[in-house]
Order: sequence, then C-alpha cells, then structure tokens
Amino acid sequence: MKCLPLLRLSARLLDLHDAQREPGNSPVYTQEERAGRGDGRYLDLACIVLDVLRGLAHESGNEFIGFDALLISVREVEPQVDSEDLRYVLNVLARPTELWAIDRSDGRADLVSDKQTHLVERTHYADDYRLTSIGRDAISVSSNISDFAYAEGDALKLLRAIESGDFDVVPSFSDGLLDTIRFASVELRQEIERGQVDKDSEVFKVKMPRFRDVIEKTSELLRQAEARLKSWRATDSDELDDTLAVDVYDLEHQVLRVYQALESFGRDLAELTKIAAKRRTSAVSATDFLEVALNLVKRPPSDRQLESLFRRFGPLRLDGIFPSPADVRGRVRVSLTKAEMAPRFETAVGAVEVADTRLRFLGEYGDVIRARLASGPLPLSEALERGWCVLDGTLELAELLGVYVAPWALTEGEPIELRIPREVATRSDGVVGELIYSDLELARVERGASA
Amino acid sequence: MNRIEMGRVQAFLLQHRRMETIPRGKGRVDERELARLLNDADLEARTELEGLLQGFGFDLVALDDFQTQGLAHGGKVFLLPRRLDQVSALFSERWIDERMQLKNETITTRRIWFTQLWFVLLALFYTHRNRVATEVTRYVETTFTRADLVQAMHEYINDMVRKLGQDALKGDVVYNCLISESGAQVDKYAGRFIELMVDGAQVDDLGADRYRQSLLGALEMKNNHLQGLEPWIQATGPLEAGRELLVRPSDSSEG
Repeated sequence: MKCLPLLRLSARLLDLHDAQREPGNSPVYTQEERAGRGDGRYLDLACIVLDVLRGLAHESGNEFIGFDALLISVREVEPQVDSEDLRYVLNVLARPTELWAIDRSDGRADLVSDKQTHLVERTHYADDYRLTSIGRDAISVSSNISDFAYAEGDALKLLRAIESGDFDVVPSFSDGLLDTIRFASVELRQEIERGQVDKDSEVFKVKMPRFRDVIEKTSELLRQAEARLKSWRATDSDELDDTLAVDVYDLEHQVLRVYQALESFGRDLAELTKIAAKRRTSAVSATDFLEVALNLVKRPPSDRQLESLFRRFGPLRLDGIFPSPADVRGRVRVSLTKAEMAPRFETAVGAVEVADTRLRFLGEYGDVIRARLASGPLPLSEALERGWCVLDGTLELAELLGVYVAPWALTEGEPIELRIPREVATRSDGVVGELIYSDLELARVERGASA
Repeated sequence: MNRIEMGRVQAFLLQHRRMETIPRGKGRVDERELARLLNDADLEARTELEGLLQGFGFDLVALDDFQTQGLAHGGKVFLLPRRLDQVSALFSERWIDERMQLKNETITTRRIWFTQLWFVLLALFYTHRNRVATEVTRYVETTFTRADLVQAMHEYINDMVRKLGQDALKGDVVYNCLISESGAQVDKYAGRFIELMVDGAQVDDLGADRYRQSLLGALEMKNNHLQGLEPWIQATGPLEAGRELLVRPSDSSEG
C-alpha cells in the first residue's frame, strides 16, 4: 500500500480541520511547519502493517491475529523492525480520533462528528489485531487514486451501472471519464511540448503504449455499454419512460461522447507518438528574454531587423481596406439607380415566363379539356392522340402531365378525380417519341354515382 | 459551407485570427455561428479555405478541448498563425508605430519602447515561468495585470539597464531612451502596448485589468521560434554583430 496518495489528498484538509485561526484573524496561513519527522519511518511501518494485516485477513477470513505473529510477518518485509516501534504504530492506528465536519448532503448544513477513524481494531482483552472496514477502505482507495491508466476500471463501472439499470450514476461516471481523458490528453501533450519526450524516454516506452492499451480496452467496454443502452431502449422503452427520471437517449449520447473523446485521444496519441519518435530530447532551458532585451540596448537593432521581427511575431492588422461582408451587414442599404434596376427587372421577367407556359397551355387547351371531360373520362392516351401536348409548335408534354397531376388547375368549381390503371402502356409517336407510361384518366366526379 | 459562408468565415478569421465554437461569454458578433459553419464544413470546402488562407500567409489550425487548455468542454478553437515562408502582404506592422504614439516622439523611440516592453513581457511569459517556447498549453498560466508589466519593466530598467553604465553606452539610442524615462512614461507606454497586443490577437483581455498570452501567440511562438525568433536573437546579439538576418525556414509544422 502506498500512503503518499492518501496523505496528498488529506493533508491540507487536516490542516483546515486543525486550524487555529479565529474568525477575523489574518488570512495568512502561519502553521506551515509540519511538526512531524522527515524520515517517513512510522508511516512506512504503518503501510507494512496494513498490508500484512490485509494479507492475513484474506487468508484467515478476517480473523484477529496476535502481536507476535504480526511482528514476524512484518519482519519478513522489514527485518530491522523494533517491536516497540511496531507497538507504537499499532497504538496510533487503533486509536479513534474525533473529526468534525459540516454535512450538506440533505440541503441543510449539519455539524457532524465521526470517530470511525481507526484503521486497525484491537481486542480488548488480548494483544490481537485486525483491519477495520476503514482500514480496508484506505488500502483500496490508495491503490485506486486513478489516472488515465485506470480509465478501464471506470468504464467497467459505467458498464455495470448500465447493466444493472442504475442509470442515475451514468452521467457522473461518464463526466468523470471525460475529465480523465481530457487531463491525460492535455498532460501528455504538455510533456511532449516541454521537449523532454523522445523515443528513449520513460513516457514513450512505458506510458504511451500503456495508454494505447487502455484506450483499446476502454473503447471496447464503452461499445458494450452503448449497445446495452440501445437494447434497453429497444426492448421495453415504454416501461422505462414511465419509471425513469433520466432519458435513456440522453445517456446514450453521453456514452457516445466519451467514446468519441477516447477515439480522438487515440488518434492524438498516434500523432504524438510519431512526433516523439522523430525528436531528440532537447532539454533546453527557457530563453532568457530579458537578456535579449538587454542585448538590444547594447546594440540597437536596425530598422530592417525590427520590421522583420514585427512581421513575424508582432501584433499586426489588416493593411488598408479589406472589405468584408461582416463590416457592412445591417449598416448599409444598397440603393440602385434606375439604369441598374432595369437589367435586374429583366431577370425577374425571365422567372415569370416559366409560369407563363402553364398559363398559355391552360389558355389554349383548358376549355377544350373541360368540354371533353363533360362527355366522359379523358385518358392520357387520348389527349396525346389529339396533340394536346404541343403548344405553339413546341412539345410541352410536362404541361399536359401537369394537368394530370394537378387537375384542380383546370377548374376550381368541380371536383375532378384521377384514375390510375394497373397496367403500363407503351406508345410510339412521331412527336413525343417512345413512351412507357400509365394511361391516367381524368374524370369528373359524378355525384351520387360514387356510392 | 457555400462560397458566401466561406467568405464570411475567411473575413472573420483574417480580422480576428481566431474563433471558438463555444466562446467565453457572448463572443464576438457571429463568432459562434461562423465557427460552427467551419467546424461542420466538409473536407473539400475546408481544404479550399486552407489553401486560400495559405496564400495569405496563414495556416489554419484547429484545436479541441482535448488538445489544449482554456477551452469550454466540447469546444473547438480555430487559429490563424502566420507562416514564416510567406509573410502576408495584407498585414502591416505600421500601426505599431501609430499606436505607440504618446506625444511627438520619434518613430524610433516608439519602436524602442515597443520592443523592450515586448521582450519584458516575453520574459514574464516564458523566462520567469521556466517555460520553453514549444510549450503552448501553458499559455493559461500567463495571466498578468498592467501593474505587473509596469513593475517588471521598472525592475528591468533599474536593475539591468542602468547597471550597464553611462560611459560604455554614451550615445546609445536605446539606453538613453530608457534611462531618460520619467517614471510615468513606462505606465503610459505599457497601456498603449497592451492595447496593441490585445488588438493584434497576441494577448487576451480577460477583463478587470487581467490579461494573458493568447493561444494564438503561444502557437506562433512554438511554430516560429526555431526558424524565426532564435536566428533573429542570434543576429542581433552582440556576439553576432553585423551578420545579416537570413532565414530559410524548412517545414515547421509538426502537430
């Protein structure tokens, strides 16, 4: 067990817990010196003891163990351990201390205290010891303080949560994962930017392959999680919608986001690997820009040199007028002279003309078709036969078909129905050419007959 | 993205040289819309725009929140860093001379103040933080106030420049310009300088007198220091006196 991660997490919190400042005192923190030893001696012993106790609990089924047996086990790890030192450490670990905190979980601020702080439990009558549940937590937390290398575990938690329908925790899990990926990605980039990563470095040889591995496995888990959510949605979505406070679709989206982030980190990693592989470490120190400035005092630069510097690094701006639509949007009204308006109008006429063909067509044949309809249904083949698809000598088949598609253009008063035959007809015609078509029929709706 | 939209995106980029899909606060007019247009653009339109901008002397770089710091979650930023091999004819450094004007000083004086303040600022950004020029993502750590810059400048003048000694540098323009400074001058020039840097997209104005290096500034520094700034420093340094500046940039775009 490593105790440093736990101490890192809690040292400042303990400082605040033990703070001697009274309200109104100076905000400066003055208790900086830590009273403790600088050699880590007892902490190390504590870690060994906790590890040993965990091992023994594992074998014995959480049995208490006597001091002498414990001493022997500890000495297997660290032969020089003094028995009084061990006794001291055990005394401290087994002693509860009272902690005070404010609990806001119920929306109220309640002062609560907790004495469940001893990591080791001692029997009252004998010199026997075992881990408390807090002690077990300490061990598992210390090994779980995770960076990206453990993202896989987080993804597994996510998957399990989804599998068991525990949807409430999914958003926080996926946000946590996103943060982990983001920080890992930016941190790695930073390390490479710093110029200390080349193909012989620890980062390149250990960290990056490990990251690749994690990405691969985590992606797989996320894929499963997503598939799982999909099937939840597909099977009993109605039931779910009623009982759930969260929308499964949202969850799917969140999981997908994590997945995409991971994918893009994977691509990034490949790219960074390439850069790192090419590079030789340049453990350069930061440029001393004050020195540079001073050199410029000693030897003033020429105008040409200054200009070349300004051009490359200085704050520049667009030279002269470079019109952009954004400059004038909403501010300038375009007014046109008459000469400019005339050609514009002409293009407008062109647009009207398209509609004109239809009007001309209806003017030419509208009455004939209406009259023909009065005497019975009009099949398309007959209309073609009569040449109603030609207007002023040019073929306007589209217009005739337009009538068959939208017969209300013929007349607004009477309803016209459209009959569609099952068979496809063919026709060869001098004007129209080869046609394969459905012989549609227009017919007036005969009132009373439809029933 | 159609041609008109591409034109709008291009105009915005040339004007501001960066845009974010999720800008802090309201962002600039149209920024959100245009950045999303560019983000959703197909590869063909994107390539076309990139080519166009390259012709103007710029690269088009996109970074998301997994590649750098200081962006909103899920956000993306587009940047227009300069290319060394093709200095843009559209852009001018003349306004440095114009904007640094306080009263009727000569152009030389204004340039001296600009350059000196600039290297002091770079010292704040890099030297004091032990940050090398390739470190882009640490740009978020560079927050400073006008007072910080003024103080750093005073310290520089008093602790370093004055110690050079009057005798050794008699008649030196830069030296005389700096030591004749009356006290309030640094503050005024610093104000001008910061405004200029903000408008030139090199410094971000965070509001409430807080500023920091812009992501664009950090990226340009990374891309161009090796072929641009380092040789320039070498060329102007006293050891290299008299050598002409000659830059032959090779492919500087990696990552």
